[in-house]
Amino acid sequence: MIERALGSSFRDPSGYLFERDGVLLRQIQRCYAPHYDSLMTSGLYTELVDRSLLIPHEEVADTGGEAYRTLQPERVAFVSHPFEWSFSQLQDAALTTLRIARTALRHGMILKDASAYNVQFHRGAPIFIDTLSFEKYEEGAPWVAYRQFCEHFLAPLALMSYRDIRLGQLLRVHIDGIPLDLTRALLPRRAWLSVNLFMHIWLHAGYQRRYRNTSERVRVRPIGKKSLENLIHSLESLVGKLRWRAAGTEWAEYYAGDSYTESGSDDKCEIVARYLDCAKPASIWDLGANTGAFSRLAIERGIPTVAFDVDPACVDRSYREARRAGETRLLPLLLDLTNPSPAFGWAHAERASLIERRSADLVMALALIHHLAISNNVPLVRVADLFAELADRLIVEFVPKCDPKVQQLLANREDVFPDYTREGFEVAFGSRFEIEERTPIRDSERTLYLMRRWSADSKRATSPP
Amino acid sequence: MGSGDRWLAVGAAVAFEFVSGAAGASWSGNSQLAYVDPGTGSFILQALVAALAGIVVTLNIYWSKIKGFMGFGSKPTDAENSNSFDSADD
Repeated sequence: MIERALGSSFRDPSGYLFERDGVLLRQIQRCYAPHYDSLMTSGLYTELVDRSLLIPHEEVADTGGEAYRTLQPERVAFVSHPFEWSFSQLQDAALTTLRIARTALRHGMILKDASAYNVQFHRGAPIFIDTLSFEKYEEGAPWVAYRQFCEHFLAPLALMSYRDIRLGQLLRVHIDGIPLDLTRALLPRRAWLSVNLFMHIWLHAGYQRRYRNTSERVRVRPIGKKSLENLIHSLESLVGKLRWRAAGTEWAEYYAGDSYTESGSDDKCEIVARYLDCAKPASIWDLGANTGAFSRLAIERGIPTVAFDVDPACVDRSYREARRAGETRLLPLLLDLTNPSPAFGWAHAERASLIERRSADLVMALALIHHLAISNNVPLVRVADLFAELADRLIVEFVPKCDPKVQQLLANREDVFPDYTREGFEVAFGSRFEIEERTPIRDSERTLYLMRRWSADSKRATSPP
Repeated sequence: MGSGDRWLAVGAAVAFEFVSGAAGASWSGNSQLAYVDPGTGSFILQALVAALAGIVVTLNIYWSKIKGFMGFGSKPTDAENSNSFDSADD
C-alpha cells in the first residue's frame, strides 16, 4: 500500500488530500467534524451536488486516529490552473464560487475560503472541489474569504476587462491572488465609475493599506445575514457584468484566413478523422488547437480532449461554444507551449507543471510545428522530444517552407533553418517515433503524419534512423 | 494614502456610521478553522461594503421599478444572454 500526501493540500487544518495506491482520498480531521456533519445533514451537500456545483464523494470505511472520516471524491480528469483559463472560464468560476457562498448561507453555513484553485472544470463546467471549505455560520460573522475572493477572482477579471487580457497572467506570479493595491494602480480611472468596483477594489485597497501594520486585535462590526447576502449579491452583479471583447487577436480568425482552400480543409478533416479512428486514443491533448475545430473531431468520437492554445480569444470562443452546446468532453485552456506552466508554490510541489499533469495518450499538433521551429527557433528534434514525453501517439502536420504561412514568418528574417525540410522533419521525428502513416493534404504542400513513440523493444528490433 | 483617498475614506466611514446604526457593537466570534488570513483592512471594510451594497441593491430595485413604470424597461443584450449563468434557479 503506497500513500502519498498531495503537495497542494497543507494549509487547512480541517483535513488533507492524499493518494493511496493511485486512488485520491481526503482525510477529515476530528476538529472539522461538526462542520462536516452540518454540511451533510443541512441539505447543503445534496443541493450543491444535485446542481453540479460541488464534487460528489463517497465515505470510505477506514477511519481511526486523527481522522474523523476518509472521503473518496470523484476525480477531475485534468487539473488546470486559474491562469490557464480564459476570461469567461475565470468569470464562470467566480460566479460558481459566489453561488455556492449564497447557497451555503441559506443552509446555515458559510464558505471559509474562496481560492480560485478550489474550482476546476469537470465535464465541461466549473465545479467546486474542496469539500472542507464550509463551516457553520455564526450570526454576525463577516465573510472571512472576502479578501481572497477579491484577489483571486475580481482583481484579475477587472484587469482583463478594463486594461489588458494579458494581465490575467499575473495570477501565475501571485499564487494567492493579485494584490489589490497593484490592481488599483493598474486599472484605468474609468473603472471607478462602477460603484461596485470602487468599493470592492479602490476602497478595499485603501483599507488594506491603512490597516496593514495593525498589531492589536481589531473590533469587527457584526454583519447581519442579510448584509452578507447583499455583499455577495453585489459581487455577483459586478462579476456578471464584466466583459471582454476578443477583437483583433492573432488567431481568432485563422480558419477564415487563406491557409487552405475549402477542399484542402475538408481533406485535412477527413485525414485527421481517419487517423483518430485508427489510433482510438482514450484521451487527447490538442496543442495549438485554435478554436478547437479539430478537437471537435475527437469529441464527436467520444474522446475527452484538452484543447490548448496561446490565444486567449480562441480559448474563450472555444469555451463559450462548448458551454452553449453542453459539450462535456472538451476543455479549452490557455497555454504558451514555448513557456509552459511550471511547477510552483511551496517547494515547487504545490501546483504541478504541465508535463507532470500529462494525461493523454495521443497528442495532436496541427499547423503548429512552424511556429515552434521557426518563430521560436526550437530544433525539430527537441519538439519531437517534448511530444514523446507527453504521449504515445502523435498526429502532427508538417508545414514546409514554401507554405504561405511559413513564408510570412520568414519574410523579414534570416532563414537559419537548413534542416527545416520534410526529410529533416522525418529524420528528427523518426528518432523518437515510428511513422505509421503519412498523407499529403490536397491543394497544399503540407503533410499529415500518424506516429507511435518507439518503445525500448521496438527500437531495438527495428533500429530506426 | 493620498488626500483624495483620506477624504473618501472619511466620507465612507461617516456614511457607514449613518447606515449601520451599530456604533459600539462588535462581533466577538472567533472561528478556529478560519485558516485564511482575512486581512485586517478587508475585515473592517466588509461591514461598510455590505451596508453600501444594500443601498445599491435597494436603489437598483427602485430604479428598475421607475424605469418599468415609465416604459423604459431594458431588454437584455446579446452579451448578457451569452453569460453562461442564469440566476433563475436561485
